[in-house]
Amino acid sequence: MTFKFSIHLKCILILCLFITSVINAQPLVLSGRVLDENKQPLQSATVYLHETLQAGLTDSLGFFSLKGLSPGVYHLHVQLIGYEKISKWVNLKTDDVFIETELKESIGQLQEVVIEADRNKFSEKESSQPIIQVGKEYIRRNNGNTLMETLDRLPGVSSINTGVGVSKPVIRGLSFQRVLVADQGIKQEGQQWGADHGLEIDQYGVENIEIIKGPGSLLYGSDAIGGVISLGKPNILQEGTHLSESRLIYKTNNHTYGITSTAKGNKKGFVYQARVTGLSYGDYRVPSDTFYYQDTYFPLFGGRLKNTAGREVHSNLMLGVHRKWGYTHLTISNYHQKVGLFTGAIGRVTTDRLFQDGRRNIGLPFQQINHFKVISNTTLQLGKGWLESDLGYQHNDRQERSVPHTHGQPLPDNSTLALRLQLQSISAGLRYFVPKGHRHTLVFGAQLSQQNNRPSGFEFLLPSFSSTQLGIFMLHKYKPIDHLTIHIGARIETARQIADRSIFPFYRRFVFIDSVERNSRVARRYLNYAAAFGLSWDLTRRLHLKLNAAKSYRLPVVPELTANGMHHATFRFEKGNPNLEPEQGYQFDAEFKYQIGGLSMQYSPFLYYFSNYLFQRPTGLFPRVEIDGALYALPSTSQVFEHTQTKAQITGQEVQVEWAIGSGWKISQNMEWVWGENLSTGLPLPYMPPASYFSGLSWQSGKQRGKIRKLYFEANMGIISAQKRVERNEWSTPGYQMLHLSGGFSLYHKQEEIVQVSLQCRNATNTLYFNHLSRYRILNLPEPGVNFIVQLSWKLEKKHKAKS
Amino acid sequence: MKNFRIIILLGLFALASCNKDEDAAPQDTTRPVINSSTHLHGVIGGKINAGNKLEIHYKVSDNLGLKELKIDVHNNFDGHSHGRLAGTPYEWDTIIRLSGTLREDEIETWIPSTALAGPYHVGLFVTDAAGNQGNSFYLDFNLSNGSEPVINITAPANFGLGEIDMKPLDTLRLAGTATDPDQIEKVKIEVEEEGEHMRISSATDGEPLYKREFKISTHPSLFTDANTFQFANIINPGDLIKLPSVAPGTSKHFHVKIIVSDKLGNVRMREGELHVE
Repeated sequence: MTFKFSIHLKCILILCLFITSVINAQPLVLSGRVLDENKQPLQSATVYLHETLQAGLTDSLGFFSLKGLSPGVYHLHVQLIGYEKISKWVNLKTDDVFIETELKESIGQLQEVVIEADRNKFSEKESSQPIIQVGKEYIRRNNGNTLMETLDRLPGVSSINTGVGVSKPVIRGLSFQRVLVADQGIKQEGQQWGADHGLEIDQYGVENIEIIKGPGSLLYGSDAIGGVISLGKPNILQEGTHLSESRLIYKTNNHTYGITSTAKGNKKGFVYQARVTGLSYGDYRVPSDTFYYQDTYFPLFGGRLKNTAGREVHSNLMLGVHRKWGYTHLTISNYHQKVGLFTGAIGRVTTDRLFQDGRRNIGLPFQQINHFKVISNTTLQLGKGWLESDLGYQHNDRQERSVPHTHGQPLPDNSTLALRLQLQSISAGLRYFVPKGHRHTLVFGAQLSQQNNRPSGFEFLLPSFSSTQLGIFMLHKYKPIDHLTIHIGARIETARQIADRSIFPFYRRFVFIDSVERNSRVARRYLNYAAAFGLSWDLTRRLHLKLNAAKSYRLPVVPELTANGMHHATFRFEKGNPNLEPEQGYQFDAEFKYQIGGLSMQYSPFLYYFSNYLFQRPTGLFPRVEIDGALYALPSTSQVFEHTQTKAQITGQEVQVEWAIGSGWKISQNMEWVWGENLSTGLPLPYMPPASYFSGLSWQSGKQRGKIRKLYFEANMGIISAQKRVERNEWSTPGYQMLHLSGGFSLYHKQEEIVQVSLQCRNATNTLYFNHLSRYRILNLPEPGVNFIVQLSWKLEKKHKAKS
Repeated sequence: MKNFRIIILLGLFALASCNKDEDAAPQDTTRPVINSSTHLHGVIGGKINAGNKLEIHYKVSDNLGLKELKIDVHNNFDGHSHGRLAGTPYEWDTIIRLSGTLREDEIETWIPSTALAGPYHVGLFVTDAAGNQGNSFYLDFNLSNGSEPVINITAPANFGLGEIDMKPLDTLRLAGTATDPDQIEKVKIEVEEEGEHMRISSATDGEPLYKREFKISTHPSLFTDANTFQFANIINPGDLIKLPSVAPGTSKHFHVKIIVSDKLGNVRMREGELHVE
């Protein structure tokens, strides 16, 4: 904590210096005009400055103006639905600047204005990596049970679920600690290695998401080897505006009741946003009243999965100041979830344990997660360049409670606390953008993080540990010609991990035998580097190309080094290996985008090679301990899975076709395919998502007047192939087809959107299917049946006339 | 270079790697199997006496090569909750090293005469050399140590011996006693509808047809004394076992479970089948 404070102090110091230094400068005005390709003015285009988050809209003649700026270099983002986003480099010296911008028509993914989450101020197009941007409208219209379920139909993205309340991201077949989630620049730290440890993010509070498909180690360090899900800043209201918004949510399948409310505003550059979300759901239903597991049929009474109910309460408060020297935001949030696990998920499945105990009851086993987070984001003008800092503190408290199941070990207090993991993390990131002229952007950055994990409970899975990482990086963007952007960058990182030795008492038939070492002390130091080279090139007016080659790395996480116990999430007894080396990846990807008229086609192939991919190898041996020459079996129905490393390859591709056929109708086709192979055994890598194909037809009204607007409808048919390429002990999963329907509209009053209604029908045909990546796949449990989701939101907006 | 596929991405990507298989582990994903002829010797009518030898006769097979068999015997007194007990339930396990593709053998264990009486299960778990684990296999038995409760059902006459034919909406009237010199802790009676593939029908919405727990403190009229329970005394209309209606031309099967435990933690279970048409 002392470290964090000193950083804070320095920031405040720098802040004071700059306030005084810029206070005397004459405020400047950046104005301009936004036109289409035929030089016709575009109204209502959003313009905003990346550095100060100052935003504005163009008027009916396409003009905009942003006032009160100090001299410096800025990135101006311009975007309008139906047009390609662009980003312009602007240098304000001593005089006001006027710039004219042309927007190119586009029919890509973007259906709404999405604030850039990119840490480098590059637009999606300038980046050399495939990026998907998602805004709050998409999140609302596709609302799933979790954030990842909401996103998992995007090409290249899938999720690993435990029932309906817990899910984690998968990008191109990579997941767990291979996909990094960053919330406003701070890496989300919450036991990413575990299949049952979901992402602790309130999806109702997310307004902008950027998904980087492919390695992000250069900017984010370890764990971003497979991709990054970057949650951006909330949309900042215009000066003098206050807004409150509430939404009611109801889902039929598991009787979810939810409410989320937010209030936000901007008064003379002081911004605030507060949000509270509450959700309660019952057991979910599947289109079957039995399941078949280990040669036996088991009942699912009433088609309900016993004990899958849950409750969630999340809150968030953001306060900030926006000035011409930049801005600073402080965000405090808390995520709280209590969710039941299907009774058969821990211990032997027996019929007696499957009797219903009430739809909304949460009995044992269950998880209780509390994630507390404080994030501070600051952007400061330093000379003509900009300094950005992200500071974060997180406390992830995870409790796994189950019926004492210790086989002969007495429990003094008959506690149900099987495992509690308390992970505290401090992270700090600094980036400086060197002003270099519009052809060059140079970024220097440093990141420091410190972690401390403390386990407790009657089960042993991993020891207490601490780890520290320090990385520095450099990134250079070069535009030799207007249509070509080249990126080159490198990072070095040093890290240290210390895991304590763990000793547990070993009992046999309630008799103490001996103290047994579950893991020895582990102290590791690492030095790694990442490098990337990429380009983004407009080959012709219609054809755009992105290429990226990267060397990336991922440190082994402490559970991979030291685990020694039953991991109920995987039904496996896991054993770590303290000698594992950091995973090294050599990754190549490309994206071809061709646009003609209303037709847009995108093809993204990739090829990853890992010199030592870390995975769990089944040993065929049951866990045992040796005490004084005698062998004792440990209570486990699973063999030992040993963490080990192998040469591996992952390849695949995504194809996206979108065709605007006029009058608001659009056809979209998405295909994704991933192939992972363990090059030592020739076997597939574990848990690779099956190939999938989504075909959608949508319509949206373009009406600009009347009470009912933004009327939309979408039908989406998914064809998910069977996954027969499986690793040992993994079931192959049959293919299935899935129909999703959605629709909705907004009500307007005096040109203001006041009510939004959205309806969804997920799994409209109530298809019985299995999800290859679900934790419950091992139990052969089917996925949820038909689910109607109704959401009603209303907004109250208050605008004061801004004094100019 | 077995099974190593590369997609040539418009000639842009160089071949990333080209290594030979290091450990030539066969690409075996076929799981070993515990044959259904696996059974217990020394258990007669589902029952074995403490102080006797429990013989586990197993037959396991694999397509390429077996590795290990784990056998685990432990109690199943209260679901699988491993609650607190007055005495020590019997626990035993072993890991057997295997090789070859088929193994049929027997392993024995002596159950001490002091082991708590009650229902137990034997779990068998098998792996092969490639690390595939087969489906688990469970066998159940009742352990008797002479001091567990005695359940003597006098009516219906053939309870536990064969299916008892009954009519829809009939009342199942049990008669007889449960006795134990160490005092009866509780008597549990459960009637569950049997499903097509399952012991319990999922059509019942999870509620057993009948489920009652009787203790001397709550139901003194059912006990002659602390050591004797009288089934015929169940006359309170709310506690009678009433069978449901059954559509004409169809039939339903029910499973009756009587579980009696004594103050020492010994358990005795009796089961019977009903056929309602």
